[in-house]
Amino acid sequence: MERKLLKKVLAVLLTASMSVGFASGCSGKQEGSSGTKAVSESQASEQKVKLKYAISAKNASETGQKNMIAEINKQAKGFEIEEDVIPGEVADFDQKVMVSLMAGDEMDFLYTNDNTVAKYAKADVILPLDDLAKAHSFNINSNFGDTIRKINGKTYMLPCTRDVHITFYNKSLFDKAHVPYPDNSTWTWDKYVEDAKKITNAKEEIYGSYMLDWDTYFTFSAKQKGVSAYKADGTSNFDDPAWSESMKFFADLGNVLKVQPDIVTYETKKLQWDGFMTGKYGMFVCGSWALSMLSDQKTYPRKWKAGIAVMPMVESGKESSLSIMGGYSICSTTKHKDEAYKAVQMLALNEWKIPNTGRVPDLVNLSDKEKLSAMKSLSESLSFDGITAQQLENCILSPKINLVCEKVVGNGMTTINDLIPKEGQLYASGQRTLAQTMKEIKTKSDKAISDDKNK
Amino acid sequence: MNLASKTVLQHRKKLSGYKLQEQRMGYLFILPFAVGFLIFQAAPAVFSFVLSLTNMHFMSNVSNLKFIGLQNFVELFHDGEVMRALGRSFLYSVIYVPVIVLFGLLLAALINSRIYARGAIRTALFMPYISNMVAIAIVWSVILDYRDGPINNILRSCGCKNPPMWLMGEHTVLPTIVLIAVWQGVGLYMVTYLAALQNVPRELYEAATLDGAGAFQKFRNITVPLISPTTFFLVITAIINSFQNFGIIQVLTQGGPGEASTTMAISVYKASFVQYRMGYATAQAMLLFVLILIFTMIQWKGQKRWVNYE
Repeated sequence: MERKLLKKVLAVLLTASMSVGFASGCSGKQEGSSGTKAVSESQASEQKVKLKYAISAKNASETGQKNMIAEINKQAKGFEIEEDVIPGEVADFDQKVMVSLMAGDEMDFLYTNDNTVAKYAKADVILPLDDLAKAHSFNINSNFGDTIRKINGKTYMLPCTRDVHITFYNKSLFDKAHVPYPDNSTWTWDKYVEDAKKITNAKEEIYGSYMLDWDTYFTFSAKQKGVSAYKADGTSNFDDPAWSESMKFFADLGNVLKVQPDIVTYETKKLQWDGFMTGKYGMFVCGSWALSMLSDQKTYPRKWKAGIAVMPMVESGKESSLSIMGGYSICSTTKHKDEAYKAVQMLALNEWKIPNTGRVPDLVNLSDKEKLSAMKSLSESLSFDGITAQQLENCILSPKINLVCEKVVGNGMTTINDLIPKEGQLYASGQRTLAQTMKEIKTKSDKAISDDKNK
Repeated sequence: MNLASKTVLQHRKKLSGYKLQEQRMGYLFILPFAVGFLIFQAAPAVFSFVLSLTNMHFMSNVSNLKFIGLQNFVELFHDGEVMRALGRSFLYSVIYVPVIVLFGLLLAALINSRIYARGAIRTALFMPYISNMVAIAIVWSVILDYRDGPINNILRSCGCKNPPMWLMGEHTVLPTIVLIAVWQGVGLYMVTYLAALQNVPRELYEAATLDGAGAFQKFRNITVPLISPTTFFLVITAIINSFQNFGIIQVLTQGGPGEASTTMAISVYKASFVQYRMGYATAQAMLLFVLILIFTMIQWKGQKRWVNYE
């Protein structure tokens, strides 16, 4: 009888312990974190307000970000920035932040760009900043210009940096082919092709040009010309000949002119975005963020030197480049709206001054001296190539350059930005005609726009 | 009531007591699993179904969430892209299931016979099954390289002027992915069939040989019926696996070129994480679930005709 009872008790205990263990596996961490949260919240109320800055693990490990947080925390009164590390990079990071914010997780501010800010604003997970700026007597337009991106007439991001497309070139390959380096004032796509032809040496697998399979490369000239992706009635504008011209130009560089690897080679050989650093390519047009690869001698050890020029112009004398602004936005789940705004404003105005952040100020009221000084720390990291602050300023900060957003921003934008390279590949690999490709892009974009509108 | 019937009654009561106790213990033992199943599988499935009846969208505030009945389902049947993706899923399945089952059986039959280095061959065939998907994708990308991959080089040397573009070709990408998936998964099918083949009694073959049966007759009349339960299990598994093709396609082509390899699994992913239409994506997932369920049920009902459990 006793044995039976003991067996019964043991069975019940075993089952109960398994169930509790099972449940505690899920809940234990939550209890711990809420406990910690309570402690940190009580401490914060006694001292400075702690602002949660949503950041990816990779960015959190960067020296520039560490410097930025340390410097702002030193200067700030009434608040302190603390990292809220979200796993994942780029698109993964955006998705996780979006889901967390929609679920109501408390975050105070985050880094956004022209592309992501539109998504976040549409989802109502970030706050408009106009009223907050007014309350803090800050004039957004006089600091960032009238062209600052607005969504439904409201400002959701204060820019702290601008990324501008520039031309990277390999000086050794130019010298070898006896081609003079690009001159900003006359640097057109025609000249680009002409130089690329001279540099290309198929036997040695040297190409004059290198382009990626990203959406922007299929649409360079249309965007530079300022042709909108949307018509006035809200449908897509991909039946405008400018889009098919830029698509054809990209495909012809590889298939007809043979000055760069064609798309089939690019895809099947799994060529990488940083292929320019192999030293086999004469020129590479990319955002100024890619300057970091020139200063990274550890990952890209090399003997050859690089130079930079503006993005090639569609028409001589009409300087135009693709760009994307990066900045800070306030999360709708913040409990410290005012402090978060102060932090965002402080970063937008000062982050470029902090060493190693790599930020290029997007302020319109900078003096020439300030502009040069903004480029100075960047040029110091490019001393191996002898790229000067003045050259950087001419390519990135020159007021002569008409800056156009590098991404399609508007209804259905995620689908449109995704389908351009996918459909473009079929054309560039010779499996579809140009007319079929543009028709497909137009039809699918219209559907994406309509789906987005009707949601 | 006499003593004998009283004893029988007491004995029955005792037995039913034991039975009850045994039942209780049984329930207690399955309790942890049942709790886990309810929390992590049943509840999300019910939640998914509810979600498929809403307009949930990542790009709109939760307060805008509306119950829209079967609107998502109506829309997806009118959505050309989704229907094309569904067609591709069927095509994938139609190629994958027979090829992997037949190839698995063929390999098992070969391994079951006395061949040189049987153990090594068996291990080599099973290796892809436990290999990393990303590594597999890289290896196959090199092998199928259009310009100078070994396969196309062989084809060119045989006089083929325009060899296939494989993973880059609009019409070749799906069959190519299926063949890679078969190559990866066939090891498991082979091992399962091998176990089944080794359980077929030798005496039956010996008796058939004495009766003058040839190799094909023995295979058709002895092997096939006796391994039919294994075949049934593998066919159901293969059908389910064939619809769960997200990983391999995402790693190899991400649904491209164009939408040539966009199956339902990829379409669900795109609807949820590119278009952020969670309600619509869940409706697509529900459709996929119902289709797999229907196929499995048809198989289950049809097994009486051809599966031999004796």
